[in-house]
This record gives sequence, structure tokens and C-alpha cells, in this order.
Amino acid sequence: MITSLSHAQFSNDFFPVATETIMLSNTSTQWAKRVCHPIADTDEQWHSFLRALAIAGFEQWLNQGNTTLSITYPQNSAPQRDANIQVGDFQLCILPMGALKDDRVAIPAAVVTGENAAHLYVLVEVHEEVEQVRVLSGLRHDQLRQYLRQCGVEDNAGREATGGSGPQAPNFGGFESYPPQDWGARGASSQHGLFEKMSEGYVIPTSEFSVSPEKLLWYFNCLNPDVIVHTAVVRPGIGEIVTGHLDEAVNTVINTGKWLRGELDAVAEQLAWQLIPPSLELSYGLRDSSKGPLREKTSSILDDLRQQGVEVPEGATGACKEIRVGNVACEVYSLVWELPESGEWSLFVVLGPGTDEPLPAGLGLQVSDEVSVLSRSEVMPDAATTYLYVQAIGNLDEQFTVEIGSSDSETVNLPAFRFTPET
Amino acid sequence: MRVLTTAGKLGRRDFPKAQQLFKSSFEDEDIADLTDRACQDTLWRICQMGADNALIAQLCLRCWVSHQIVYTCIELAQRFGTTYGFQAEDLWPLVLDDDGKVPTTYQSSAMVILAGYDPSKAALSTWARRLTKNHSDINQFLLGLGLYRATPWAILNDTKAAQLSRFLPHLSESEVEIAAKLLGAYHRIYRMDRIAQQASRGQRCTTPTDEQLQRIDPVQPPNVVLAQLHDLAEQLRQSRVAARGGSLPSQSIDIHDYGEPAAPTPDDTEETQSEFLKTYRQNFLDTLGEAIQVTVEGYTAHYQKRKPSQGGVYRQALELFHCQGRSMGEIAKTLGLTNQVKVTRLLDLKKFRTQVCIYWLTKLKDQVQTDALEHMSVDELDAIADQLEQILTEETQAVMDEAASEAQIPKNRTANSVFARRICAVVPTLPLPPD
Repeated sequence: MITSLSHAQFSNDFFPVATETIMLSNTSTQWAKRVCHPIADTDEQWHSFLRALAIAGFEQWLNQGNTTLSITYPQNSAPQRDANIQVGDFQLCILPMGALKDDRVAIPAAVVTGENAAHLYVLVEVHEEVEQVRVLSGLRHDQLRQYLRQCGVEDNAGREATGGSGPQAPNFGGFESYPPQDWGARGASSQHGLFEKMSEGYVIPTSEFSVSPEKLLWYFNCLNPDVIVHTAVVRPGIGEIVTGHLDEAVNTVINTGKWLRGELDAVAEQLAWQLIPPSLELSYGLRDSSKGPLREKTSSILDDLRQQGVEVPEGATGACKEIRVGNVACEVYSLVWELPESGEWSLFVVLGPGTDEPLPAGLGLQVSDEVSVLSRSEVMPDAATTYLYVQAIGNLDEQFTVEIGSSDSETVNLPAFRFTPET
Repeated sequence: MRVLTTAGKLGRRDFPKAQQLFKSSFEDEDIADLTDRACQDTLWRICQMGADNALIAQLCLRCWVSHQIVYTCIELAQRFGTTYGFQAEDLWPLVLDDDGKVPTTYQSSAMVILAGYDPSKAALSTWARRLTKNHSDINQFLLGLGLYRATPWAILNDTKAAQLSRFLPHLSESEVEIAAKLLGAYHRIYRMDRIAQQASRGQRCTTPTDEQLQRIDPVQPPNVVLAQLHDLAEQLRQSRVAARGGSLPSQSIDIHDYGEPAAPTPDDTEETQSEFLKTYRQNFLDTLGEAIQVTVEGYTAHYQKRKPSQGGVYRQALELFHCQGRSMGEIAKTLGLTNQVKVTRLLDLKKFRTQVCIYWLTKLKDQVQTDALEHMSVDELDAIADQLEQILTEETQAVMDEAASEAQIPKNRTANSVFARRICAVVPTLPLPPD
């Protein structure tokens, strides 16, 4: 009466206990039980419990061996899911993983944006029933932002921290406008899957967590945390406005250097920018309507600006694109030129209305380098503003980003601009 | 029935009454058509009817289950025995505990298997094998050797209802809804009880009691609820294991985890080394001894605080591994530690090396105080960290010349590296902690 046993799928559910595994001390487990005991909601209680075990285990791991790092977290209450622990000068968000691994993890929005943004997000495997914990890997804040940008999802810089109503779901509206194949290429299992639990925050594939536990130690000991979180939190201006999603893939960079030779670069072309017919006798008075309405329009804008004392040199070349910011149709003109004497280049961006309606009050345009906002301009109430413009000048290896938005609509980030004249 | 002899060997016991019942139950059937499943179902029905021969029919099933248990143990040993050092014989005493008495005098493993069985959910063979793999003593035994298998209850505890549709994509929407409801009810009852068990230190999640099962679903009989929960957990286990593409490394633990990164050829190193390391490489090598000393002392003091104190054991392990090139398994035996996992954990090699390098860089920053060091970017630090690791694994020319005289040191081990050489120069000179 004995059936032959199938080898398929047999016993692939036993796993080696990794040598980096930490055995939780009695103190750790008792503490976790004590602080989580009063939580009434059983679901919340359990997840707080796992989080507490993960934090206590992380502390044990940190203290093993020769270390002088200090770790701080509230001792008398259960750890909240959007609360950081502190290691030295670093803010850490500890993310527990259960008995069997998931391939994605949710990071609360409150520790991604705003004042409580963490420097590092650390995955910690928790085997509650055998009281074992293992520090798996980390993700730096800058890596997370980069990932979100690649997915076309900009995070809310600042708003939620000042909103005072606790963590909120970030606005992922519009992500469906991305072609599905893009999502496949980024490793998400389905277009919707990546954001299936938006209420929990940002859902990130665990494969993005690439910082080894040893590297975490290096960072804690030898790195200034400011190099990880800088622009994200402190950037003023439009950064304070809710930044919804990007309407363009900002991980790509537009090379304006090519424009000088009368061609669009591949990225700009793909994003449907239109080259403003070059050379630039688009300057004043030499308008030639046979060269197309676009140039005529550009020339007209530059004329207007010139009357306000704003000069764009004759060697400038540019491209134009229609965009929508919330309900407002706009046109963006980007003009670039080289400053050979100083080895620099200049980006000049003009924002104009896309219809006969003037730009609404509150709409802003700003240009930033990698560290800070360089220039910002905004439509003031009751002022007859036809165009907004900003300008940035930088070394040839610098690149600039441009944001357009207003306090009551989403913000649009244009792809970064760089200037590499090709030979 | 498969039983253990007093000598602990696998034996066989016959029960004439059971054989008789079996024969009489199936004498009208054509043997060729008789399937395991048909036999099980018939015997199971007789058990459930509670007639005079119900207990004998149950004995038949107990015999059958005992074979399943034996087979499961053999299979576990075939799969893991070589790597983790155990045999099927080591498992039998843990789980083969039916004494064959009618009526039963205690809850043997076979009785537990039968008590929770729901024929509508699975074949008895599947159920028996699953429960054998879930057997707490077997799990505890294997955990001691370094193999962990989550209990179904741990899996259910850690699964959120919202994850079900993703983890079990083959279920229909209504099936997911039913599963989510069951899981939610289980969570409310079981998790709270688990946290409330203050005394459950290091204890595996145990099978929910009938009382708990009743609270989870008051309408259905406990064994049905139990089977449903088991089924859900098993589906999750398979899906999440499959999703990871998980399979075990075939090598033993110390080889797997403690193979050093391959030493780079000198040319590569020259090219990839940053300006930083060109400047400070010599400083690193000159002060490596001090960094090792401080780190070893830190670890020794840390282990010395354990009860019983392990500072001395740590230092011996360090020397045996780096200076004498002994394997983790040998070191475990020499120092009286349970297994190689204990040794690897004690040596904590990766982190140890990192801490040595960190000590040096921190010290250098204090001494030099340049802007470049104070405001390193992540990439710069990453590069420095990786290059220091490389330097530690390099083999010096002098060492390679001596290699012939170091025949006792296995190839591809740390003993030839810059790091191991320096450890062996420093560690024996340090005072040992008091016993």
C-alpha cells in the first residue's frame, strides 16, 4: 500500500540558517512583547511586534564586536511603522520581513519625504518562532529617489511632513500612462502590482536593496549622512508643492549639445520636443515666416523679452514642447548656448501659455542643479505676466533640472538637461 | 506497522486483527483495481462510523501512516543528510512513536496525523508526509543542525490578507475572499495568544488547539478548520518558495559562506586603485596590526560578557582558523561547540574584516583631517571599502615564496592573505581574557 513518492517539490521548504543570523536575546524578545502587548488591534499588534523584534535584532547585530555606534529608539512604546531609529547621525527605517520572503516591501511615505525622511531603509528578516533575526540589506535614500524617478513616480517633497495628518498615500495617479513594457523592463510583475498597496506607502522590489550589511557599517562610521539626503528635504520653492507624478521619464537626460548642430538628441525626439529651426537669426527683426510658425513664435517671445531687457545671444539654439500642468496647457521653450571664454553653458527656459488664456496666478517655473534651486519665477496675482523665464549657467559637466507647477496642481519635472557638444 | 526495536533499529510489527479486517473489507475487490486511495477511503469510513471494528480500521490506517513517516524521514536524509550530517535513523526515534495499542493510550504522531485529516482536502499520504515534515521534534533537530523550516502557523502569521491574491494567483476572486476571511479570523485568535504567551521563549508555533479552532470558526468542526488552515499555509509555502526560485546550496555552510573573494591580480589592483589608496596604501599596511589588535580586543571583550564567557574560545577559534587553517567543522570539535554554524557565527568573519578597515579609516580621518576625507561621497567611500577588502585578500610575493613550506594550510584559504598573516602575527601576542 505504499505509493511511490514524488521528488518534485519535496523538501525545498527547509532553508539553511544563515551564519549572519542573530539569535535574539531574552531581553530583546521580552521587550518586544512588553511594548506590543497593549496594542488593541491584533493586526497592528503583530506587525509592531515583528518590527520591534527586527529593531532589537538590528541593535544586537550592531553591538556585536568592536563598535562605538550609539543606537536610539523609543524604549517605552511599540515602534511605529513610520518612525525611524537613529544610529549615530543616521535616521534608519527598519523594515521587517516575515518567515518566507516577499519580493517587495512597502515603505511608509512619511519616511520617504519631508522632515522624517530616513537616510537608509534596512530590510531585516525576522523568524519570530525561532527568535532569529538577520540583517539582509539596505537601500539609501538617494537610491530610492532614483528608483522612484525611474518609475516615473516623483515623491512628495515636503507636503506630507507639514500636513500633520500622518502618513498618506502618495498620489500615483497617471502611472498608467506609461507603456506596459516599461514596467516589465523594470522588474515589476505587473503594471498595477507595483503599487498594489498604495495605502501603505511606496512599494519597492526588495531587489533594489543592494547595500550589504557591511556597507551599512561603513556608512554609519565614515559617511556624513548629509551626502545621502540633501536636496530631497531641504529644497525650497516648488519642492514644497505636492509633486504628483512626472509626465516625462526624468531618468533620461536631454543632451542639448546636439541641438547646436541643428538636430534633436534621441531623448528629446522621443519625448516629442520640436527643434526650433536653428541659427539663430531668430533674433530680432530678421523674422522670416517661411521658416515656420514655431520660429516666428519664438522670435516674437524673444523680442518681447528683449524689451524687458532680457537678452538671448544669437548663437542660441533651442527646442519647444507643449505640456499640461494640471488643467493648464503651456508651451516650454528651452534655449541653450555655450560661453566659450569661461568654459560654461547656459540654459534659458521660457514658459508661455498654450492657449489664448494667460498663465494662471501661482504657476511657477524653476531650474535647479543637483544641489539647490538656482532660479525661480512665478505668475503673481494681478500682474500681467505673459511669460515666465529662468536661466542657469554652469560648467560643461553640470546638468540642470526644470520643474513647473503650482500650489493647487501637480508639478511637472522635465528631464534633466545637459550640454555635451559632440564632435 | 513500522516500529522501532528496543535497539533503535527499524522493525516491523504485524497485527492479525488488522490484517483480518483489511482482507475482509476488500475480499470482493479485484486486487489490480484496488488503489491506495480507495483503501484509505473505505477504512476512513469505517473509522468514522464508530462501529465495533472502527478502532481496528484505525489501526490499519496507523500502520499505513507509519510507512509514510519512514519514507519521509528517508527522503529528508537523502536530500540533506550528507550536507548537514544526519541519517534517517536519527529521525525515526523523534517521530515513529506508535505503540500499536488498541485503544490508543496516548497521542502518537500517527494519531495526530489521523486526527487532523480531512479526506476532502488531500490524500492521506500527502497529509501524513506534510505533518511529518512539520513535526516539531524533527524541525527542532534539523534547526540545531542549521536547517530551518517555518511552521504553517508562522507562515500564516506573517502573511497579510492583502497579499493572498498576489501569492496565490491561481485562486478565483471568491476563493481569495474565503481564504482572506479564514486568515483574518486565524490572525485575530492565534497571533494575540502567541504574543500573550510570555513563557514561550524559543518555542515554535504550536498547532492551534481545538479551543482556538473553535473560536476561529465556530460553525465547522475543528479538524476541518485545521485542515483548511494547513492547506492555505502549504499553498503559501509552495508559492513563496517557488517565487524565490529557492533551492539549497549543495555545499556545506563554511565553504559556501566563507570562501574569500578571489584575490585580484596585481595589475588590476594598480589600475583600479584610487588616488586615495595610492597615497594611503602603505599607511594602511603599516597600521593594520593596530587595527586588528583593537578589533580583536573589542570582540574578545564582547564575547567575554556572555554567560558562560566565551572570550577565550573566540581567541582559540581565531587562531585555529587563520593560523592553523583548520576547517570550521574541526574547530567545532576541538572547542566543544555543537557544530560549524556556531564557529562561523563566533568568528563573524565578514563583519570582523569590515570593522578592522573601518577602524583604520576613522583613525586616518582624525590624523589627516582633510576636506576630501570629511566629505566623502557614497561612491568614493564604496570604492575605498572595496579596495581595502581587495588589499586584505592579496597575497604578497614573500608569502607566495613561502607557500611550499606551508603545506598544512589548505589552498584557497585565508592563511596566505595579507589579512591572515597579520592576524597571526598579532593575535598570539595579546593577553588572553581571564577564565
